[in-house]
Amino acid sequence: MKKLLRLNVPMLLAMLALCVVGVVFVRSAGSSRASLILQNAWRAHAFTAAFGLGVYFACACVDYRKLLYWTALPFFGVALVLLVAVLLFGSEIYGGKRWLWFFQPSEVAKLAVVFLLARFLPRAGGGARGLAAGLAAVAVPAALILAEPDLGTALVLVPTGVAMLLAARICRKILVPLLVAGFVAGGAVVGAVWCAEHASTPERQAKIYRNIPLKPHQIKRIKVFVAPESDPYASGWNLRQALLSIGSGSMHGKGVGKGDVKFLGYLPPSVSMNDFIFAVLAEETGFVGTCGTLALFAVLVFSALWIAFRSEDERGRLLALGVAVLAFTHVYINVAMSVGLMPITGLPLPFVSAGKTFLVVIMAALGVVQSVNIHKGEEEQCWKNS
Amino acid sequence: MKCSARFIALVAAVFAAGFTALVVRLYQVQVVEVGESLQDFGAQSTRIVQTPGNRGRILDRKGRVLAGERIRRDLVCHLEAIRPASRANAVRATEREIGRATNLIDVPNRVTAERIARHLKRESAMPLTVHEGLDEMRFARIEERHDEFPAFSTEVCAVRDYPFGTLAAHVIGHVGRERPSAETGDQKIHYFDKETTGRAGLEAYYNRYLTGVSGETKVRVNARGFAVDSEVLRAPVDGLDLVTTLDAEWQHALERELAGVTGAGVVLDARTGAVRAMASSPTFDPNRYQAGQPEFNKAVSGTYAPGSTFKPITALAALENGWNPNTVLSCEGAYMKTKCTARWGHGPLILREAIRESCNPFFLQLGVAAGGDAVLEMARRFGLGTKTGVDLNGEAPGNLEPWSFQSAMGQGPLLVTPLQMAVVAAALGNGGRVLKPFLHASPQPPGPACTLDVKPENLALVRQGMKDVLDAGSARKAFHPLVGGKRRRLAVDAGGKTGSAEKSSGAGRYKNTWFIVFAPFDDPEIAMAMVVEHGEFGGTTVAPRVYNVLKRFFGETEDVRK
Repeated sequence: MKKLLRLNVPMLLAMLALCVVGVVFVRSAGSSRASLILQNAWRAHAFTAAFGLGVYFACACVDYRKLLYWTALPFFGVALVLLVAVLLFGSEIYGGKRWLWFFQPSEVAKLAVVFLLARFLPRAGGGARGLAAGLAAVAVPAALILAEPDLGTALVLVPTGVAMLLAARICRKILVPLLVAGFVAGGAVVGAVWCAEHASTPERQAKIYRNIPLKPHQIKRIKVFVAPESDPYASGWNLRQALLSIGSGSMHGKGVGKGDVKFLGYLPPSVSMNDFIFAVLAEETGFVGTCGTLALFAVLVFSALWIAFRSEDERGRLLALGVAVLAFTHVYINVAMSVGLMPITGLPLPFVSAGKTFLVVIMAALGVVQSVNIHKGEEEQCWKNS
Repeated sequence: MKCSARFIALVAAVFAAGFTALVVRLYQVQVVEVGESLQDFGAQSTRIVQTPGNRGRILDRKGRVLAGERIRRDLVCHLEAIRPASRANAVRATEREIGRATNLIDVPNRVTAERIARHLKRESAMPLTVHEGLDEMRFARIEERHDEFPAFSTEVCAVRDYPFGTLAAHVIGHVGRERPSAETGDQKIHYFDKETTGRAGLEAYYNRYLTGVSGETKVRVNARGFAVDSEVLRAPVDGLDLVTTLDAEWQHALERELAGVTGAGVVLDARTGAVRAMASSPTFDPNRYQAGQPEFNKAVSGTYAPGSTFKPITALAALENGWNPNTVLSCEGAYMKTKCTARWGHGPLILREAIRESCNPFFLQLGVAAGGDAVLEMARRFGLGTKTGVDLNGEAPGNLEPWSFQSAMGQGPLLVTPLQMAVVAAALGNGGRVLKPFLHASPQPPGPACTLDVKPENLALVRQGMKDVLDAGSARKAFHPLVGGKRRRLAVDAGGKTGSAEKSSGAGRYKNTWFIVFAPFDDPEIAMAMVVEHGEFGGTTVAPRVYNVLKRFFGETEDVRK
C-alpha cells in the first residue's frame, strides 16, 4: 500500500475527473431515450468505472516487469483466441461481429499488443527480422479485427505499434519509408475520393470509385468527410448533426442535460452515447467544456509521457509511451471525426463513451503506467539472468 | 537506451500539435461559426405555424348578429402518440387507430392511407383532422374514453355562422377557406390554418377589417418531424366587428315580398343614403354555400331598363329647360308607333296628369321638346350611368348612351340598377340631394354626393305628380287595397312611380316591372326601389309588394276619402 503514495497524482485525478464526465454525459445522452436500458446506462458506466478503478490500483501495485514477463505472451495468445472466437460465435450488432457475450475482444487486443511489444522489442534486433516480427504482432490482431469488421479499432493499433517500433529503434531504415508510403497511400485514397466527388461526369466518378481498393461503406465515410454536404440526409447525417450539435453549444453550452440535438433525436440514439458522445458534451458545455475535457486528456497523456521520460527502464518507457499513444489516438480520432477533421471511424472517447470493455482496458493500461512510475527506482528481477 | 528522451519529446510535440489542431477547430465550430450552426439547427428543428384570429361579426344597425362565429369541435389525431413497431408500420398503425376511433364515435372513416402518408411526410408537426364537427354525444364519448385513445383529442375551431340563414345573403356574402395570400413578416411560414376569407358581399368588401391579424406559433419538432413543444410568438388579433346600416326587420319584410319571384329591391334611408335593406331573389343560405348558387346580387349588379320610373327625370329635365307645366299635349293612344297604356289615348294632358297616368306619347313628345342632351344630363345628375359607390363589390354602372327618343320613357339603351333607382327615389323625395348609399354604419355617414340643383317649384311639381300616382294614378289600387270591404291606405302620404320595361329576348317579349317610392311625402325617411322580372305591370305586380313592405313600418289606416 505504501507504493500507492508514489502514484502520479495528476494522471490519477485527470482520470477520475474524466470518469465523472463520462457518467454525467452517458446519463445526459440516455435521458431523452424511451428505453430504460439506455436511461440507466450511466449506472452501468459508473459501476464499470468503479470496477476499472480496482483493476487500475491492482495493476499499479504489481511490478510491471513481472507483469510483462509472465503475462505478455499468454495475454496476447488469449486475445488472438478471443478475436478468432468472436468471428465464429460473436453476436452481430450494427453490421459487425464485435461482441463476445458481454465484452469486445478487440478492445482487449489493443492492450495485448502494447504488452507484447513492450515485452519483446527491447530484445529484438535492429534488423528487418525484428521489424517483421514487430509488424506481425500488430498486423495479425489488426487483420482479425478488420474482419469483424471494425476499421477504427484496427487502425488505432497502427500508430501505437509504429510509435513503439520507432521508439525501440527497430530498423528505421525500412520503417520510415514504409510510413511515408502509408501516408501517401492514405492521402491518395482521400484525394481520389475528392476528385471523384468533383468529377465532371458520373461516368468518370464511377470509374474512379471502381479503382479504389476499399469497401463501399468505407468509401462512403471518406466521401462524407470530403464532401459532407453531398448527402446531408443519409450518410452525412451523423456528421452534420454532430457539427450542428457542437456548433450550437457556442461558448458556454446549453447546460448539462439540456442539449436539443440529442433531445430531439437528430443525433441518433445509437451514436449519441458512444462514438458521438463528444457532440453531446460539446453542445451542453460549449467551447469551455470541450477545452476543459481536452485539457484533462492532455494532463493524462502528457503525464504518461512524463512517466515514460522519467523511467530508466527500456520496457517501462515503451509501455508508458505505448499506452500514451493509444489513449491519445483514441481521443484525437474521436474528437477529430466529430468536428469533421477526419473521416468517421467508430472509436470510443476514453472514459466518456459508454463502452464497458474499453473503459476497463484503458484503466488497466493506465494502471500499468502508474506501475511504471511506482517501480521506477526498484531493481529489476525477471530479466536479471537473461 | 534505445528509447531516447528525444523521441519521447517528439511524441509530446505531436500530441501538442494534435490537441492544438482540435482546439483550433473547436474554436472555429463553436465560436466563429456558431451563428451558422444555430441558424441551421433552428431551421431544421422549428416550424412556424400561422394561426388566424377570430373573424369579426357583421351586425345590423340594432346589434343583431347577421354573421358570426360558431364553435365547431373536430376530432384530431396526434400521430406522434402512435408508436408503431417500425417507421414502415406507421401508416398502417395510424390507419388502424383512426379506424378504432371513428368506430367508437360511429362516423365514416374518410382518412385514407395516402392521406396519412402525406401528412406524415409534409405536416407531421400538426395534428391530423379525422372528423369535422362532432356533436355533443360523440364529443362526450371520445372525451370520456381518452385513456383508451391517447392519440386522439378534440380541437375547437371557429366556423362562420349566419344565424338568420338566407337573410340578406347577397349583401353579407359568404366565406371560403383558403391559404393566406400574403405571408406576414419575413419569417417563413411552414403551416397555416386555411383562413376564412370573404368571397362576396360585405364579407369580401370588408375582408381586411373582419379578418384580423394572424398570429404565429413556433413549434419545435424532433428528428421524426413531430411536434415536441410550442411557443406563441405572436397572438392572433381578432377581426373587427362590422356594424351595418341594415335593419333585419326591413330586410325580412323586403325579402318576404320578393320570395317566389325573380327580382331585387333596395330600401334606403332617404335622408342619409344608409341602406336599410337590400335583397335579390332567388336567394341562398350562406351557411351551406356551394358553387352555382344564385349569388349574383341583382340589387347592385343587375341592370334593367327603368321603364316609366325614368319619367320623373324626363319631366324635371323639360321643366328645367323652360317647359311650361300647363302646356297641354294630346294623347291619341300612340306616338311614333309607341303605344300608350290607355289604348284609346288619354286625350289632352298637362305634365302633372301625364306623370299620374304614365302617358307614353306625352313623355316621348316631352323628351323631343327638351332634347336628348338635357334629359341625359338630368339623368347624370341623378347619378345614373355611374356606380353609386356603395361599399359592395361588383356594382354595375348601368348605361345612358346613346340617346334614343324612347329613352324619354325609360326604354331604349337605358340601363339602371335597382340601387340607382332607390337613389333616384331618395333624391326626388328629399329635395334634390343625390346620396351615396352605404352599408357600413360609420359614425360619419358620407354627405350628399351632389345636389340636383333644380328649381324647387319644378321638383315640387314632379313630386306632386308622383303623389298622384299613388292617390289616383297607376298605383292607386295597390296603395288602396280593399280589405274586408273597406278600402285601406298607408298612414302617411307617399310619392311613387310605376314602371314596366319591355324587353325582348330570345324567348320572346316580357316585362321587367318596377316601382320606386319615397315616404312619408313631406319629409321622406325611406326611399325604395323594387324590380320584378317577368312581371305583368308595375302597378299590379310590384306596387302591392312595396305597399306591404311600407305598411309594416308606416302603418295602415282606413281610407276616409271616397
